[in-house]
Amino acid sequence: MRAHQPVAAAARESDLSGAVRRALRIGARHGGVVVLVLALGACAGRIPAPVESRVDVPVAPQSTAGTSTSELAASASAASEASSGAVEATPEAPPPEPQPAGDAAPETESTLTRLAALNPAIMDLLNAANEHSAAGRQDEAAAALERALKIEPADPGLWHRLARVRFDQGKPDLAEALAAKSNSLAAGDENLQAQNWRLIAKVRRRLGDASGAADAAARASRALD
Amino acid sequence: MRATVMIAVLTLAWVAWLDLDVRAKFEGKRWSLPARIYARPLDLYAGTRLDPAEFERELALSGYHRSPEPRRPGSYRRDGSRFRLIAREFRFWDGHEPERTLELDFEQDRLVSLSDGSRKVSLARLDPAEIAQIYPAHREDRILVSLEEVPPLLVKGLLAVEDREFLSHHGISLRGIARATFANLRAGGAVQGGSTLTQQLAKNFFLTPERSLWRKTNEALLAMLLEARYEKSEILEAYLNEVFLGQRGRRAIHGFGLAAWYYYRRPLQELRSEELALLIGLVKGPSFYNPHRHPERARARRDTVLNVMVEQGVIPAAEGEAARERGLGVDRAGGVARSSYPAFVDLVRRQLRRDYDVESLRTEGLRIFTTLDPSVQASAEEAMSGQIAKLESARGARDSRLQGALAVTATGTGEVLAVVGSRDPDDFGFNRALDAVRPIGSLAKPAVYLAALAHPDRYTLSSPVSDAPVRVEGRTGKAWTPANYDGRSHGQVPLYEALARSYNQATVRIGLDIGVDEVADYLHRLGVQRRIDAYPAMMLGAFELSPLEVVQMYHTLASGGFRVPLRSIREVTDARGRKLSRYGVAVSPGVAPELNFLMVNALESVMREGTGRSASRRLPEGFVSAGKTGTTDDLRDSWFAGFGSDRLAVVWLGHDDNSPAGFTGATGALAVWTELMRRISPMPLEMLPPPGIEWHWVDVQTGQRTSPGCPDARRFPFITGSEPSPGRCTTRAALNDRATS
Repeated sequence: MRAHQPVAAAARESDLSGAVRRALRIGARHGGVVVLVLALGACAGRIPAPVESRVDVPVAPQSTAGTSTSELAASASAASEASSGAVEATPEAPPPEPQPAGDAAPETESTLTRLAALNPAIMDLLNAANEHSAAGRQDEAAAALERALKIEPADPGLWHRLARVRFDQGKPDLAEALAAKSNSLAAGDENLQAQNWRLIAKVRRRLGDASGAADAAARASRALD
Repeated sequence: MRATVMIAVLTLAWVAWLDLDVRAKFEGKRWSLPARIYARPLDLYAGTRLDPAEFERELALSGYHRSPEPRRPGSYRRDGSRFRLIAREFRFWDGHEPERTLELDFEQDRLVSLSDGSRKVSLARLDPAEIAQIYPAHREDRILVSLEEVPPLLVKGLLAVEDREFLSHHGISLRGIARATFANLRAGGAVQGGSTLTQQLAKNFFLTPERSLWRKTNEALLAMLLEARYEKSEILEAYLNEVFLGQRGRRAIHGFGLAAWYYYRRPLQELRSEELALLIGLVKGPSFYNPHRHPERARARRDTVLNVMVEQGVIPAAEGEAARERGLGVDRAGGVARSSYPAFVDLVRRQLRRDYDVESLRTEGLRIFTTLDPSVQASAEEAMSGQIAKLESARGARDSRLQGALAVTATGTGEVLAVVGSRDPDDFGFNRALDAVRPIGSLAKPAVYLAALAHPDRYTLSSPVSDAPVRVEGRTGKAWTPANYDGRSHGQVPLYEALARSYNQATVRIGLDIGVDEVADYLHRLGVQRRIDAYPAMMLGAFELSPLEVVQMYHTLASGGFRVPLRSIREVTDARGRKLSRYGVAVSPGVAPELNFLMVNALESVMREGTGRSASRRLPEGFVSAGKTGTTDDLRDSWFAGFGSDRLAVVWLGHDDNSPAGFTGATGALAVWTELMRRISPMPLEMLPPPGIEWHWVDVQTGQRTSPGCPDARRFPFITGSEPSPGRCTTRAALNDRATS
């Protein structure tokens, strides 16, 4: 006769969305519930990519964690400086690739608005990655993101960002795997899931896999439903 | 006449040959520089998990010195859990860390605040510790310095003592020789050498130490050729890097750059006048004035140099006076990083050898930035030696044959943080972490269950499976009848429990049902690269892997089903810090994330209620982890592989001669793993379910869906659509039951 205790740890897999749970977890770790809207900058890669709305909106955090707010604002403005370089770089980019019909959803992946760690170290590294990336130094950008991942290995936004850097660097297979990795951590963050699927669609188009691309694009739209 | 012409021609030819030689030596590859291997640089930010003692150890490894009032780079002050340090400048290939003051505050095992004294600092990277070198065959070693970075005091003092006419002579100095002769006569012995710095440099170009007129003549010739061909600054710089300043074991210490590290564990730029004076004094005879062996002689020589420096106006008299008062202060250990991570460095060398030829590793001064985490490595070494000693003494073992290996990685990025290849961490011999290839026993089982769960229509975590005895007819006619470790059958059990309790019979039944080929396929998906013969005993781990290969396999499970090749090197740069190669995080799909999530959930049960549950008694309350024990026939091998959310470790214990060691995975390797985790306090496991996972309550007796509060109800994750159909008990029914009872 076995008597199983009902598992008490129900809260672990509760109905909280993944993103909120992450924010709570990270907030707890950093001493205070903090909601930070972080804009991840896009980068102007050397590889022609569909022109996107390269508007970075680093929003000052609605932070309750006193002292660090001004600094975050400071680094946020640094992020926009970094990306203004990207804005200038855009006009030189070749015209957008024709988009297959199934992929009509507007590309908004340059502006990532998500909950992120209130960890100024991560902010620093993201800013550095954006700067490097805008200047075409993709290896340096990847290194900064990997440093951030050592601090927050389960942050899907960082994995997504790394996927984009690798895509810009001409490593589509790696980009797809990294986007899938990001997705596996992004339960509850449909926006990010959609962006990952759009990136995967781009990878597959580049590799000539039309049906795979259409499938990924469809999953991107479905994620947002 | 003909003889004179002949001699003239020969002389000219000889000079021409010397000229060629000197140019080749001076301009070609002037020095062979050993490759330098660095630990990972420590990232500091508010929240870094590190306790003050570990931090201080990191500082010591990077050559930082404790001081009551830190002013110079490389010094720090500690007051309990507060530190103030002057961080050194360091040029990483991807960025520059400035020299700056850092104030750090620790609370328990965390850095809670970091500032530069007035403003918060969000992120700082400490200059990394040098952990090893790869030497050229003749074992010369040096740290190159350029003339601009050498303290002016060193150059002035050196010229004052060794060659006052350096800036004006043409390679040899008659005045210098006359002065030396006079001084030596007056002192009644050799106190000064008559050689110019250029001659001394020329002398170093000969490999033999003979003293003859022929040799002297050649030196003089070479010196003049050098002077004719090169600028004074080039000659001086070469001298500063070439001069022999000591011997450590088989290593020859060349140049002031390395001598500073060797004698003082500090960069040359950080030395004080009396320290520079000692190094200048050593030029005359590094072994005669060896400060470790002959401190009085060394001190007298240093003071002589200080006197000359005062006489010649290099330093003010008061400073000379003060400097003479100070002790020698040389580093006891003989400075320069001990090569004390043989197992890890072995791994680094093997990775390097794939991409670089041995000669360039030994001579080009490559800088190798590795993933070694010195704090984790220290914990791993302590856990291994400590627990092995404990296991042996608990059993009253006389001999010390029990051996072990262990490797730790960061999950997600695949960085190898620590490798232990022996119970004695300084053992340079057999590296068991890489080379002890042993049967892995039950560590193979996750592949069986993954293959089963990949058919969600047939198997879920809650599916009832049979643990009845099983008999497999071999092709040779010999039957294989695997038994459970406790020798009993457990009837019908839910699938997760068969894994958690490591039932062999249930596992073989499931595997045979799915097919051994699919099981082998999942081993490869997890990252096993060796060829695995698909025969039934393989499902119970009757094939061999090294501990590091097991790490690779379990790393896939620990990082959401994605395969990430393990890395021990992040970057290789040339001697000047320019990037040659970078090894980034490479990710490829391995096991579907949903499937992997189910497996990790089952591996958590191992720790909660299965074969790994004994660990929880010694781990911090609330530390969730996932893992698997492995034991092979007759207790020859004791394995454990397990992870929290950011650290994975695999431990193997056994005997080198493969005789029974007498430990199961749970009684041996798990003890080492638990001790390690206790020391490195990793983040508890917190797997976020990927999209496509749903949670349902199931009656573990019937395997039917139920509600919380019903008997035997337990919550399981399911791949969407694979949940069982509902049974009779609902919450309402359960509540009614309770109300009436």
